[in-house]
Amino acid sequence: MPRRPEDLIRGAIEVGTIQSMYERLLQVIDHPLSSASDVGRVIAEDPGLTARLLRLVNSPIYGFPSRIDTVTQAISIVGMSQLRDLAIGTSFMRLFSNVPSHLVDMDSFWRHSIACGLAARQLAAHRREANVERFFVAGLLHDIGRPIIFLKAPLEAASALLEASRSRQPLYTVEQKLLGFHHGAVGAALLERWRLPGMLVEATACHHAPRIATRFPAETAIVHLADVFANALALGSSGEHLIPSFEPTAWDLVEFPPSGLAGLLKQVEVQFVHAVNAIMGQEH
Amino acid sequence: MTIPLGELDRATADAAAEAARAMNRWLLDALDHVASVGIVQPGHDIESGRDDLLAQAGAALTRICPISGSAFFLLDPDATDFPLAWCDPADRRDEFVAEIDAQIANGVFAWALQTNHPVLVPAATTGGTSLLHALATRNGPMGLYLGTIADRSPYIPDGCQKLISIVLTSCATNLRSEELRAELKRINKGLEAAIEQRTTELRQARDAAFRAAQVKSEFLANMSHEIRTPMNAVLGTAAMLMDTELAADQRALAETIERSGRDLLAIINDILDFSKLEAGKLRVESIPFELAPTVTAVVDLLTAKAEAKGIRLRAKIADGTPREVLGDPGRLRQVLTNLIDNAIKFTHEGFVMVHVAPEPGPPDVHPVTFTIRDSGIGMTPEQLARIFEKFTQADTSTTRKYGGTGLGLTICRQLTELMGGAISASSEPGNGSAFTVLVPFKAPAEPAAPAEPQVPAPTRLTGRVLLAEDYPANQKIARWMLERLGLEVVIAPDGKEVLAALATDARFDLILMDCQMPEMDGYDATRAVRASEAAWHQIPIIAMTAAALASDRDRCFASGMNDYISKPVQQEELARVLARWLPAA
Ligand SMILES: Nc1ncnc2c1ncn2[C@@H]1O[C@H](COP(=O)(O)OP(=O)(O)O)[C@@H](O)[C@H]1O
Ligand SMILES: [Mg+2]
Repeated sequence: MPRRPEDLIRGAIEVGTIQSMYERLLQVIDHPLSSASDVGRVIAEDPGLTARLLRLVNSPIYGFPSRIDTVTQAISIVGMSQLRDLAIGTSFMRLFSNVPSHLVDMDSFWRHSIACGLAARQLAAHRREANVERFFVAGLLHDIGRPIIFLKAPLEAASALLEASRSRQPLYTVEQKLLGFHHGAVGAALLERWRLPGMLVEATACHHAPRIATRFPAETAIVHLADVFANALALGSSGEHLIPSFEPTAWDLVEFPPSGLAGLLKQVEVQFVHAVNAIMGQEH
Repeated sequence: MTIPLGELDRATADAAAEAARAMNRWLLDALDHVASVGIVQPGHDIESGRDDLLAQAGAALTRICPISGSAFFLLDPDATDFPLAWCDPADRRDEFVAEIDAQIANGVFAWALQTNHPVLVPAATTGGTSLLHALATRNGPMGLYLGTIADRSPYIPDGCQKLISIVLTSCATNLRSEELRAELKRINKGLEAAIEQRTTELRQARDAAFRAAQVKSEFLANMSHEIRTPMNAVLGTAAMLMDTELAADQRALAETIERSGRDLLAIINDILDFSKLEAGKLRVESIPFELAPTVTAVVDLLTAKAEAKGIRLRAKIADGTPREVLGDPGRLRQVLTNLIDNAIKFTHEGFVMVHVAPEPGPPDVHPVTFTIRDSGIGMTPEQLARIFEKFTQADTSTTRKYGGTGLGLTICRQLTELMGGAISASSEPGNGSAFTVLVPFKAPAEPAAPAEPQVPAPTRLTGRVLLAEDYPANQKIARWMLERLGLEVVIAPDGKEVLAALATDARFDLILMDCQMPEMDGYDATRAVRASEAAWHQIPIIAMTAAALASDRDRCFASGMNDYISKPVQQEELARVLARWLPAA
């Protein structure tokens, strides 16, 4: 039985082609003088990713008035860090094709993640955050620890699922009891090892308890709220059968007017269809 | 030739180090430009402050990326249009406007407005690139920046794009704070106007209240006059009654009428004075007079009252008290009368002492204290604290037991203050009270006229008197008093009748003229007499008036009257005044 989250992420995750693309993306990220064409060149080497990104930026979610045909063009319109984050975030989706399907429906898992990402992106847009795509990615990856648990500790995962539905407790509480940590810590460990931005790491680690976030409390609070919204909308599922409990202080931190909530949820629902088509289209 | 591996490594390392150094230089340089944005001269107006901010942002952007021209389009106040607010170079204005119009038409403008990073699109009107960036704060978009770049695919690294966002976000924030500053100024102005308006309203309300108080005071003064006239009749009739043969019990009844009438008159006088003080109409005189006789006269007048209660009333004038001073003897008399009267009223056995003493003061000021001490019922500290308030008595049972209006001390205090002085009191329940009045009299420049010798009133005079008086009861009383003096009396009920009487019968020796009369009042009648050509235009005219102020007296003399007697007319005083103008029998 694993003792620490790190035990679960050691070695065994199939990374394949994404590894080299990812390494090179990190290189251009780390260089402040890199330009749109540098990033574009790296992404263009992965035709699947390129198609996915172009479908995404051409979707009504972005609503750019004219067609975007190249990654370089997409970068100059959506922004460089933004597109880079999207590239990395959506690349993760190919990692877990071998997760046992009797434990979790990965399709449903990613749908939940996309809904959460869209909600986080909307909340961030309302705050006029500079890089709203990073919030989309944060939503997309917040539950990434869960397929790892399913993959690496299938027995514990199965008993956790059973126990959660029997005792009517949230899955993450049962994970905590059974493993000594829950999927947030596992996901954070993975993102950390992949050297992803600290904001993504902390938001993933603390998305069930945003008050313990220290470096990115507002960002974490946004992901926390977005997760609650996504579960409430029941767009896909990450295995959680209960709506996670909601922390009122997160609401104050995000400063989103309650009157805007209905509009936000409506928008997420509309964008959801487009985002699922754009991101998961090829695989289906 | 083969290059040794080590050297290749060194060459790569050198190139990497050089690249890092170049990057560092570029970054520091760029950060310098960014840091200089947003410094506004204090005290500028909003327009020039805004242009300053835009010019600084534009200049910084030109330095950190390959921008050849900059233009800012700011949302106009009614949020309907984005006119060009500033551009550089200025002569490319039309070009910028055409480009932005094209970007508005193709939707990029709207898109960029909602985005928080640089949006790079092919220029719509040239072969270059347009960089669009929103100017926005969390409160929403305020405008849009357009940068023109000659290159179709420019090299603008990620770090540079972030700096552009920083410059324009801080520019937007500064613009917003400028707006807020201007708004604050405007609100302040509005506040000032509101305060101004409120002040005007308050002033108007105050004036209205003040006018109302004046109207009230005038009403009181008039009422007092209206009451005094019949009171005159009551007192006069009582005097007439007592002059007849009466049984002992009948005389006692008549005396009660007389005494009650005088008490009522005193109350009315208090109210009259008080209302005049309230209306600010009371003035104090400054004439030379002798202190000791003034004090003694008051004490003498009240001695009978004190003796009737078995109380000793004494006055002591300390050595060194100035013999004569400059001040208002009438008002001083009034204050002392009030205080001594109170002392007698609230003392059942023992004494009332009046002590007059000089106080040190500047060379030409003679401050004098008048202390009235009694051995009466005294007051608690709470009562003492309130007695100088108008209509206030020590406790509500006082009126029942001792009568009074509670105005006496208020009048005393106000009169004392009008004279420039101060009044204070100390007391203890059961241990008597002491009231001290300090008046800073002036030193007289010339010696005082000796206090008028109180010549005994004559009992018989000769002459014909024309009595002008409208009130029938007072006609009767005055006629009775005049006839008792041996004078012949003809009555005229108003000013017109006075002139008519003079015209038909020229043999009058004196006119006794009531001031307030219907048709033609005493003043007008006097002026008419004095203006006449007839031999009688010099006839002595003596005023009878209920008004008791120096200013009223002045008004009588100004209209041409020769002397003055105050109502209610009393036999003795009437005799004394008439004796100045008519021969004794
Ligand atoms: N010498 C005094 N001894 C005790 N109480 C006094 C004395 N003088 C004044 N007072 C108290 O102060 C009150 C106010 O006095 P004043 O203003 O003269 O009104 P009034 O005499 O009409 O009652 C009196 O009613 C009485 O209660
Ligand atoms: Mg009194």
